[in-house]
Amino acid sequence: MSRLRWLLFRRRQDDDLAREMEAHLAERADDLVGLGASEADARAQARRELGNTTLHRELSGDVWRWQALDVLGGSLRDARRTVRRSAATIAACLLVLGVSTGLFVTAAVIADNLLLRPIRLPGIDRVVGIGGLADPGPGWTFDDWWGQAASVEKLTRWSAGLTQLATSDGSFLVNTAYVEPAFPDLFPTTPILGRALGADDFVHGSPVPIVISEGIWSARFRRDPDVVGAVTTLSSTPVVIVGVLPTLTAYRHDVQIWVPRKPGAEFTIVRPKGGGTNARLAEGATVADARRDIELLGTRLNTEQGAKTGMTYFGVVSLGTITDSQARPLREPVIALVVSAFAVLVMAAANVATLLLNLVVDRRQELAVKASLGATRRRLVGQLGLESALVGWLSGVVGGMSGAALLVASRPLLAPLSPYLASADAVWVTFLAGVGLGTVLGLVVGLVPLSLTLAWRDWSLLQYRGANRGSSRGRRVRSSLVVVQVTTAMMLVTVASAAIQAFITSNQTSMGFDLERVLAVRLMVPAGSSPQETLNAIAQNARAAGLVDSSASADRLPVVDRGGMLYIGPQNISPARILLISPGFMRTMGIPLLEGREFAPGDTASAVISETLARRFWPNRSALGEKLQVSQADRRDVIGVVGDIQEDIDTDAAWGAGTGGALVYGVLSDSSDAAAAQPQTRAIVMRCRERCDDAGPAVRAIVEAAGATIIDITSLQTALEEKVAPTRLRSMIAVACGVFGLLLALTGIYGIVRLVASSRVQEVNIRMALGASAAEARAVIFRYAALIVFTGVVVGSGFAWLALSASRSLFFSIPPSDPASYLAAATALVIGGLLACLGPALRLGRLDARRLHTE
Amino acid sequence: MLQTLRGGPLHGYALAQAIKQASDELVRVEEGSLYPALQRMLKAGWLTAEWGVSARSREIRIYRLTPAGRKQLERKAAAFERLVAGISKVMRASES
Repeated sequence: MSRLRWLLFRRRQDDDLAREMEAHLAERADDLVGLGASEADARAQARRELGNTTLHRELSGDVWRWQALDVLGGSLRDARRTVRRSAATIAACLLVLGVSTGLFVTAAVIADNLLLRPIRLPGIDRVVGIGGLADPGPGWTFDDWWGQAASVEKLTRWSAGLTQLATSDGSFLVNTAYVEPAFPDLFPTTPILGRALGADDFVHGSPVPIVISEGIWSARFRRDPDVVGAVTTLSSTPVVIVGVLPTLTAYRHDVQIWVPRKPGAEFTIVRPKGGGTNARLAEGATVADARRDIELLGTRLNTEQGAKTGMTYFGVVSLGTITDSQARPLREPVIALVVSAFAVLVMAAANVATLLLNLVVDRRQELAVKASLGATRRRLVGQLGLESALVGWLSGVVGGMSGAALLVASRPLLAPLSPYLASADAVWVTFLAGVGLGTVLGLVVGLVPLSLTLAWRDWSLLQYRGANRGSSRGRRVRSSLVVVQVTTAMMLVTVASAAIQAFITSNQTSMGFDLERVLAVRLMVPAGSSPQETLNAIAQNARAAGLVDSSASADRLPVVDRGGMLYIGPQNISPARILLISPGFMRTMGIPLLEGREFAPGDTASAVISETLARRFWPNRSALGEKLQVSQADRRDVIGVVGDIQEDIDTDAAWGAGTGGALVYGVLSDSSDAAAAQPQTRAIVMRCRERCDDAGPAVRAIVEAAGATIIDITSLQTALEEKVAPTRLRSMIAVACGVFGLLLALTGIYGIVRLVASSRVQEVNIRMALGASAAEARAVIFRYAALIVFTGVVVGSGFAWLALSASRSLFFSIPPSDPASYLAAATALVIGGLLACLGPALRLGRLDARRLHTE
Repeated sequence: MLQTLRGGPLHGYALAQAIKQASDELVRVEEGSLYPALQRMLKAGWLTAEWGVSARSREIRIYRLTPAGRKQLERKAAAFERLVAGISKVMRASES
């Protein structure tokens, strides 16, 4: 017989041993009966002589068993019994640790994709974006001048905008990037179908080869595998599709079509969507080297070319790696999310460690009994270790599932930021990471009660007194864990208080214009129509119908649509947004005119500027009549100064002092005849007489009757609420973390105070019998809790200051040292701690004469 | 135990009784160690076991010596005799 056979048929083998023992007894009894004993006496004596048959069977079976496997099986059965007996506690542990693990893992996956690896292309770490490079003027091409910089190579420019694409289903606007020859080299992307753009595509020829994104291949071409080679028109120019690029790895996930800039190919951009200049760092060069070289060239440009042309050339205003520029706007909120999730995880781990510790202490008698029955210390410690591992593994599964669920639920918010976060791969990675981290964390947390049991010297059956609820070392460990929880709660609640204050402040801060009853319409004027005539017709018909008091148009909606950025003068190169508007815009929007006048028709060489911009450039005098350099060849007269509007409502003011943005207004005029052959997008704002909901359908009919296509129509209030939704979500997450942290900390305080109270019942009862008052008895508890809360609040305040300092831009001018946030958090913890102590303290103050007699 | 089984297959109780009688009750096999020892010898391959019927028509497990068991017996017996011879020499030397 082999060990394996014994393992497979252990029950039968055990039965055979039992039968063998029984046969032995019977044989011996028969012999004794033969010697004259009665049946009963013979049986009894035979049993006495044979001894403990169960032990004999155990020892016989031990010969065949794999000891380790046997111990493991026994421990698993014990663990299952423990879980069943303490189901509520174990469930609480799994939920708290699992959900916290899932939250942290999700935050980490988000941080990895948005901050560490926002673009997944080979060599992307050495690609830089350069902002503010000027055209060098006569005698030099852009590439020849700026290509002199030794520390960069493969300089390339690109621009993007909405362009009309014709398909079999009709025409529609697509975000198109127009790229130079070095672009595919800087951003090498393996296509799903066909090929990427190559050097030959940038020379003369028709049709123009284009590459489309996976998104548009799915949406407009139904993932047709024969799309490669299909000929269509882009902005009325014949193009042929040569490849499909994957969304996950393509640079600029929002671009739908890539088109090579080539001689003879003209495309009309209906609405610009940005652009840039990129280059690769030369071998061994750093970002600092590149900045130095480019700035030197800029200085030379001003000296040499400025003297010839009389123009001012701007040097570089921004140079950094592509990955850094993509990550930068998201850095603070994502880091805040990761830190908050980590803090919650630490609290959860401390909380679960306390719960498991209490569980072990409660089982001290059970363990002592097992020790007296022969279980070795090693066996018992192994059993506890296995239980911890089981809790850890189950926590991991809960962690993985909750992390994956959280990521899936966040898809609407995350998909625009990174398509990878919306993919199935990210969900799998989150799930597996959650399982792994949760398992490891559960094991680590389980070490806390394990370390306590290892310190127990005497495992034999102790004189168990109900008041003895654990050693002093155990109480110190648990007290420390509760202090950790209170510290973390202080940090989370302080941040949550700041988030609430920021939210209230942002709601109270004026937008800079009157939001009431403003209808916002985004529309497209078809090719062949004059945009201005179409807009005038819409405005007149809306007024004639009694729907609106006033209306005006712009190239985009203010605040809601993020405008293009300029670097403007006179002396300082300063960033500002630009908004092109029609006369009457300020009046319609309710933007206060502080100096000068609004635009009149024909004011194409004039500019109206925001108050912030006026203060920045002309702090001690009026800006009226001053010259503003909008671009190299464009200098405008300042004819008016208006109040600031909240252009950067979803971030704290990154442009300068105050909450307004630096904004330049220009006159929106009809495009040239050539451009009029292409569709144009415009925005109209209308001050309605009645509610926007009532006027909306009628305005829609008027716009469509004028021949325009509506892109979007809503109240400006609604559009703004959608814009600030991510900010609100950030605040909600901060508040949720704060509340969760506070509850965990209060649970911890209640648990430790209850334990301390029960361990001091005898002492307090004796004191009260000797004359101490109930208040003096309760003071013991309150003093103990006060020490824990005070320590946690003081230490936690330091961490809170660090957290608020690191996430300053998220909290709308709430400074890190804002006393109200700290006071609110400390008050919540003190009051909560007081309430948590109340029950145990009241119970402790009641004298129990029976217990005193028993003791 | 191996020596006793050399004389023929026996069940556990009979084996213990045979050893007790052969040694004039000087050597007793404790019941507590009998069955574990039998299992160890089964595992080592020195014995085989099968269910049979005792003299009293009772179903009981009977143990039989294997060739490997015989070899083990011979090895142990030779070692024991060498030991006894050595002790005897020491004792004779002490007496003289």
